[in-house]
Amino acid sequence: MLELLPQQLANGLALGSTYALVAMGLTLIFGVLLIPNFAHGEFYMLGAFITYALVASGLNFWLAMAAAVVLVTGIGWIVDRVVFQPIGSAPGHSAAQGSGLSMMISALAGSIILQQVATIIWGTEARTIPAPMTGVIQTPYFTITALQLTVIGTLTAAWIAVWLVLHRSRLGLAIRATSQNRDAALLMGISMTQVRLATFGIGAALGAVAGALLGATFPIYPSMGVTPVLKAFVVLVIGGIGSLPGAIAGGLVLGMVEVMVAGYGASQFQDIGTFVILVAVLLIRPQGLFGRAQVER
Amino acid sequence: MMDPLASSRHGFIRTVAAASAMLVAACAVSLQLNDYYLYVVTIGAIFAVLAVSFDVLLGYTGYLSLAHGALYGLGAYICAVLTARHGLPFWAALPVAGLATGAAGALVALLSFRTRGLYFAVLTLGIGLVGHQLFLVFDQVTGGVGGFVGIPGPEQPAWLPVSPVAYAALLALALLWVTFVAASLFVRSKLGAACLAVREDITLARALGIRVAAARLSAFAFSATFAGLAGALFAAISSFIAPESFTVLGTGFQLVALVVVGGMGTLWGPVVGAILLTALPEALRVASTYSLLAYGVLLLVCVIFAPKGIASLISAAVRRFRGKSKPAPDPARLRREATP
Repeated sequence: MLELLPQQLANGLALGSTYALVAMGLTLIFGVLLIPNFAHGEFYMLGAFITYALVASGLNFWLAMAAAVVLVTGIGWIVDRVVFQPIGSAPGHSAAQGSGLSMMISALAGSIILQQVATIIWGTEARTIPAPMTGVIQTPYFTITALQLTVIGTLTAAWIAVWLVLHRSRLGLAIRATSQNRDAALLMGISMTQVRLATFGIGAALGAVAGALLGATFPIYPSMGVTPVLKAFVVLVIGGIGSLPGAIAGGLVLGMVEVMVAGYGASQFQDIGTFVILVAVLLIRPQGLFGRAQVER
Repeated sequence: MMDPLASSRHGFIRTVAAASAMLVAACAVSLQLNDYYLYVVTIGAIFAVLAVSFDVLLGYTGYLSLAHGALYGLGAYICAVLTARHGLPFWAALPVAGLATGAAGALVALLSFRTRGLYFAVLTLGIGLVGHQLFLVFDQVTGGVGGFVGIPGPEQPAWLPVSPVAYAALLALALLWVTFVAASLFVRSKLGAACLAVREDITLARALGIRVAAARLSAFAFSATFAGLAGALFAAISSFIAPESFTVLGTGFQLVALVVVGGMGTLWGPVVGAILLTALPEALRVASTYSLLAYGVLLLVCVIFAPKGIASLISAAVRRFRGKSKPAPDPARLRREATP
């Protein structure tokens, strides 16, 4: 059994990287704008389907993926404008708990609407994107496909890119200021429109990248975003809400645990293993691995 | 929101009388409907039971649980196993299912109340997902993904000469009445008042010596018990249950939607929400391809245009109709005006 361990770790790393990509977008939107975006899974789904449609019409996979990322970013802005902004600005909504609940419900509504639109366009049957690369890399301890390696590489690149934007640009400074204290940021003359556009754009783009890459390995269907977004919320809680390193570490841990449970236990216990980890983390460290302690008021 | 301490025993009697009148009216109307609409009434009433009891936890105590889809399923499976495998009559299985689900809910509550806010929501989401998975994994007991077939329906007394479908609808409406009365009793009790204190300011409540743990635990157990009862009735009426009826994203979120759209912190708001969001899409199933899309749009419109729920819109309309144009004083505004 032990000789399988390196192979399991490699598989877990690849799986965890896609979780981390989804969770990064989710934690960014939640951390900065305080929106629990349950429609995030649909960005992922649309990334996969738009890539599929463009590849089917003869485009190169990577060009199709780039186009899908651009389109999904636009869809992300539309979703923010139609689904979330009316709630944030309506007079009946305060910043209290009620607003968070309304946000959740409207996110759910947005997710249902996007899923149904995708079902009307593409139908419910599962499809596959032809794999853009088929190479396999052999090492003495494990084998890894070129696609898995690309996923891991993409996560690394995305992390570096997001870190550079957040910490080395004026826009990033504005985003970080907003996540620390929204009112103070507004008083300093930070444009909320810019921050919203940037945050939703980056979040949706990360989701679309994950969807396109995973669509090249697994079948795609309109409700494919549901499980990843639930898992991404679990990742968020394991890592600590609003923390990017937390999202990445949580995603990788989750991927590893799932692969281990499926490999050494039974595959039907895969999801249960995940949530046992979640419950354990929350009981020992309720604010998540990288989270700041919540101040009780 | 209503203040339960201010409302007297007189108010409770009036609530029960109004609920009873509604029950009689709903039963009378239901008996005129055809079988399809009777089914819609049954499902709507079961979801109203879930929503009203869920609001005791969400609206009155301020905790968002996503585990209630699985608790509803637990009640359904307990009733199914007891009646179909062990030959218990439905009327014996129903209270067992309710109490056992209430106990399971108390266990979930003990685990989850270590956290709060979004963490509480996500922890219960995890528990809900595990529960749903367990229904799939223990296929010896539950029938797995294929579902549990052949659950005997509730025994019908001979003196009630109605069709079984109509009987199911009457039972669901009666359970809704029981839930409504029990919930209004609960929120008027000392425990209910303590729950409100937990919602408003848990630290202050602790400092005042209110037994916070007992209050929120009982709110969770209350909602879980009625979720179990609703599940048991659902199992007996449908005669077939499958794990897909008890998912987090389907049922768990549906409950939140019913309560928020209907109006949190009122007991009749969730009933309105249940009628609007479960019965209406069922009744409008003519364009079935677009019915889920219509549901999504309806949900979005409700949340954007009635942020405090349909209940607040209705209250405002009633106030205007009675000619009381002056709205109730908003405490936040009073405080603002008091500060120089």
